[in-house]
Amino acid sequence: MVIIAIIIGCLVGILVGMNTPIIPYSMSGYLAISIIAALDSVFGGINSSIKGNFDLKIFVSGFFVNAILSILLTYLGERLNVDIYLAAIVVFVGRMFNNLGYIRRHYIEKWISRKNKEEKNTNEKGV
Amino acid sequence: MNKKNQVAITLGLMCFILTALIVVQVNTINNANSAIGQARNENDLRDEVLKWKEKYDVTYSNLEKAEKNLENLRQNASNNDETTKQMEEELKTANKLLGLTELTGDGIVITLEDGTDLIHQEDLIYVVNELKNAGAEAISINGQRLVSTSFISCDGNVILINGNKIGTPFVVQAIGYPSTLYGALMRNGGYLEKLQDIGIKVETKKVENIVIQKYNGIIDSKYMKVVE
Amino acid sequence: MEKNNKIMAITIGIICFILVLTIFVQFKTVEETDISGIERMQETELKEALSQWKQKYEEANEKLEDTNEKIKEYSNQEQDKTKTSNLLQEELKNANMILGKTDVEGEGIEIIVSDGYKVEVNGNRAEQNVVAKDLVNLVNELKKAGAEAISINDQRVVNMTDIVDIGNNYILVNSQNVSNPYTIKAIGEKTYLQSALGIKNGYVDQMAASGKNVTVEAKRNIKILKYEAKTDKNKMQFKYIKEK
Repeated sequence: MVIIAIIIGCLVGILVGMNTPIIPYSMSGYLAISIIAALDSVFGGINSSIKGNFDLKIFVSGFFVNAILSILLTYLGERLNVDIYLAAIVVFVGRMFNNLGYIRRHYIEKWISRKNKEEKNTNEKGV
Repeated sequence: MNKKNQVAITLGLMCFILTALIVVQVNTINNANSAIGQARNENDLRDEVLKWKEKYDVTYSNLEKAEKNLENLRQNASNNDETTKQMEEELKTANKLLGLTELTGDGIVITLEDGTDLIHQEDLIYVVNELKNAGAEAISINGQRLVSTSFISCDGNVILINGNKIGTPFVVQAIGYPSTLYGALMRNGGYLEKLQDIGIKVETKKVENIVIQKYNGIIDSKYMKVVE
Repeated sequence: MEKNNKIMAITIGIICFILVLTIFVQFKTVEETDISGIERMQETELKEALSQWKQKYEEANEKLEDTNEKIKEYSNQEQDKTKTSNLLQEELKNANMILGKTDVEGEGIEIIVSDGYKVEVNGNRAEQNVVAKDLVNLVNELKKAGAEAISINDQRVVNMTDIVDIGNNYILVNSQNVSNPYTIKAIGEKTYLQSALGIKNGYVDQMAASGKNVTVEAKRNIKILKYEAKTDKNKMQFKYIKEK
């Protein structure tokens, strides 16, 4: 059911996104940083669901609050003449890679252990 | 109690310092932006250009909406009366003739591209003059509609039409009777032949249903008055 | 449990929707905004572009206000026939004035261009006749300097006016003969028009260098006659425009 919801959400998102008017270019910097923040929460969510401690409330709040905070921080940086968004990108993308690493390791380990089992099984049968 | 007070005071002080610093910095940046002649780096300029371009785009689309609105209003207001209706029609035709609407029709498209020799502003001026002579009804160059106040000038090595920069290749679109236009422009001894001879790439095609953009500037008349 | 699952699916679906939506909006924005031109510009060019966009914005804004003003007038007078007709009349008058269908007057300059001669190395006089190109260039220069109405020997120059040579002695303007000397009248800011032609290596210098005579005179009031089409070709009308 969750997977169906994800697919529907993505498809409708693409459709609506294609048909909405574009935003002013100077605003797109903020949108970009919020997308990165949201993506970071998504990977974090996948990671925690693998670990088995996924919490919907934490996921949803992280998704929105991170996005909004990153926009506010970028805006603050603009006013202060510091490129804060660079730091935000470093943190978010760094975390994304970490999470991706966990996810990858998890699935590779799963795959390897399954393969080992199969080999054992065939070996046993062969014997 | 004493300790709590201390913590509160320290926190309060720190907050004060932080906010004060932020406000000072924000003010400094704002002032630096508004001061004329301040050395600004190119990125800031780029942002500024984009910002004004966006402002223009927004205003222009508002203007288009307002003009449509005005046209509808005129039509509604003049619907019940023959004379006003006639005037409204006349006004519509006048606006078309002025170049304030997008037009479609058959005609020719001339593409001029720098070859062994470069295209100068005069070349475009003369080509346009020949098109007018051949009876063209609407002309545009690289999307810039030519209206009664349009001029072609050059600034260094760029060509400007109506003050907008355009570059090679130059695509001249003209609506009119295609065979007449084509024959007149491609005749022996015509200006296009001369351009070809000095090494400019010229391509002329008869094209159906050319769309010529409307003039996206303002035709000013501050100095002239109708003689009563 | 079942209920929790449902909530979970729906929220995650919504989150996916929002994420993908914003991503695609961003894609489109980046794709459709043409900043490549700006990206490559140097500081001076950027400054130029900046002032150009500012000016364009101000022009558009001015026109927007003007249009809104007219909208207000029309909607206020929707019920009143005579007032509507007056408004239309006013707009029509203005449009026809810009088109060149009425006599106009205002400050401007009067230019007289005439045939001359050049003394060649061997002492011979070489006749230098004014040709159509001289007048075409002059018209372009005048428009560049902000001329609002132009005429050549009382032939009003409108948008589709053509200027071509016929033999050596005549020039056709709007398919009608004009001949030497050529009197060009232009309405606009007179000092600006005058100085635009008179700048170093400007139009007057160029003409003088080729041996032709040019005089420029600023005038407080110039009258320019309306456009009159003598041939069918020159009528202000569209024959090849298709209605949409």
